[in-house]
Amino acid sequence: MKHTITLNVNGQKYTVDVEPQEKLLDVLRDKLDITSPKKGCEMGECGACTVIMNGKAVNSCLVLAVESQDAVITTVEALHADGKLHPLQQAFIDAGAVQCGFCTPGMIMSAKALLDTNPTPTEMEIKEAIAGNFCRCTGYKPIVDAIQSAAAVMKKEGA
Amino acid sequence: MIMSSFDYLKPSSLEEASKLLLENKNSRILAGGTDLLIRMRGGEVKPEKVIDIKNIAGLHEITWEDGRLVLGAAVTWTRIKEDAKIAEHFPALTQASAEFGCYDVRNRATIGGNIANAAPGSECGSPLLIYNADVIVYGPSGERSIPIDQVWLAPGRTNLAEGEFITKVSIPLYPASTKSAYRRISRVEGQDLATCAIAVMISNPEEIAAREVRIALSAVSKTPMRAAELESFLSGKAIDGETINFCKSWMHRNLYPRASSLRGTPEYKKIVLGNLLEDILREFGVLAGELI
Ligand SMILES: Cc1cc2nc3c(=O)[nH]c(=O)nc-3n(C[C@H](O)[C@H](O)[C@H](O)COP(=O)(O)OP(=O)(O)OC[C@H]3O[C@@H](n4cnc5c(N)ncnc54)[C@H](O)[C@@H]3O)c2cc1C
Ligand code: FES
Ligand code: FES
Repeated sequence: MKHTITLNVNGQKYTVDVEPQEKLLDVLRDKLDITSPKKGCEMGECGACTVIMNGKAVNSCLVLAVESQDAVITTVEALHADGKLHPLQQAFIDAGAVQCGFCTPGMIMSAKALLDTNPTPTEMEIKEAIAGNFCRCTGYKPIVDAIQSAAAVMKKEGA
Repeated sequence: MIMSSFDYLKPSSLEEASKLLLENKNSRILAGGTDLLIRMRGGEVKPEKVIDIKNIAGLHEITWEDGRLVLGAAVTWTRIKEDAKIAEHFPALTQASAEFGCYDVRNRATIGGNIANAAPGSECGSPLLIYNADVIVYGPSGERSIPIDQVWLAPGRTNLAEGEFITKVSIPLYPASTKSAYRRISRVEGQDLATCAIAVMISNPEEIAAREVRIALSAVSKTPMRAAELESFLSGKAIDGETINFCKSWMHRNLYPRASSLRGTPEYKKIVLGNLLEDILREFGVLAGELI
């Protein structure tokens, strides 16, 4: 049985028909053409599909699309504004935290969910926040560095 | 995408949910989905109806009433982890929430789903056992309360009857002098399931004769278990090196973890649990004298 759901993705309202079997990840990628969330394991293990749903980082592969009725979803696509990259995006580039890039959108969304609630995280808190995001390339160090320097930039910009 | 098709239902009352469960033999409750959706994707379970309980009022509440903490079945592990009052009264539960999965999973996974999933190493297992929690279920004959040590029958199997589902977990408060803790070992720090885990509670730690010790172990038997014999051995007596050595040998003599576990051999688990027990008792300040 099809369901018609309305959800807000990156500030835009969408109304879309979905089958119960479809995951939020499937609908974002295949129906709304929002392709930053990646399909890795589809088992909640790798974090490549991480998006922010109602303020919290979630694995979009573990959410049925029908469950996202009225949800507010944020993905990497919404981060840059007026042609300028978000401090997290810039910091990932500057720190060499992107190699193949497959984990990057998920990493950045986990980092954003962290900084939204804890603007001055410790190194341990950063590691905890990205514990569910796997990276096969970078060895994580540049990612932790990037999140730390983005936090510093955001603090300065906010001040 | 999940391959087998199903209907998604979203009842807004307990009665409606129970009726749907009863009418549809091949149906499953959906809470956070962190176990269920994986099983469905793998084709292990193919329910015809998926009954989402997150729209039922009351299931998301955390309340303190009549000397008890009551957690709604749909309370997430993130909310447990972030609740300062839970940390004050039930540190073992908070410590379990910190070990649990990762941010993304904790943000969805619920306490009710963790209980219902009935895994031998589930994070809720040992903490709920030492605190003597009651699981409140709702079904065709109304509400009933099941003591936590009667909830789990075998891996993946609970004592719930047809049409019943978990609505709450109710945990009695203990005097402020009570000490409790949870420790888990896993293969990697971060995201993994428990290789094995232990929870310990001591009432009246200062008065040796009045001491009551409770110990629960996870991932060493078909369900999380209380170690009753060890509890009576340790209760009401001074604890020293010799007592600890007895506890360690008890683990070796009385535990039979499954040899086919991917996470740790039986021998390893038994050694680790003895050492964790020692660590916790030392931390509680109830270990007298130097160890041998
Ligand atoms: C990456 C990852 C890491 C994980 N790490 C851990 C971990 O560290 N520790 C751990 O213990 N678990 C872990 N899990 C397993 C899982 O997240 C937990 O068991 C979780 O608490 C399940 O809750 P849920 O709300 O997601 O359940 P769901 O998936 O919604 O449901 C699980 C099962 O319980 C049933 N059910 C759900 N709610 C109820 C209810 N109220 N009444 C009756 N039946 C119900 C469902 O029908 C289903 O059979 C992990 C899972 C993943 C994917
Ligand atoms: S694709 Fe969702 S966690 Fe891996
Ligand atoms: S950059 Fe390749 S997986 Fe992280």
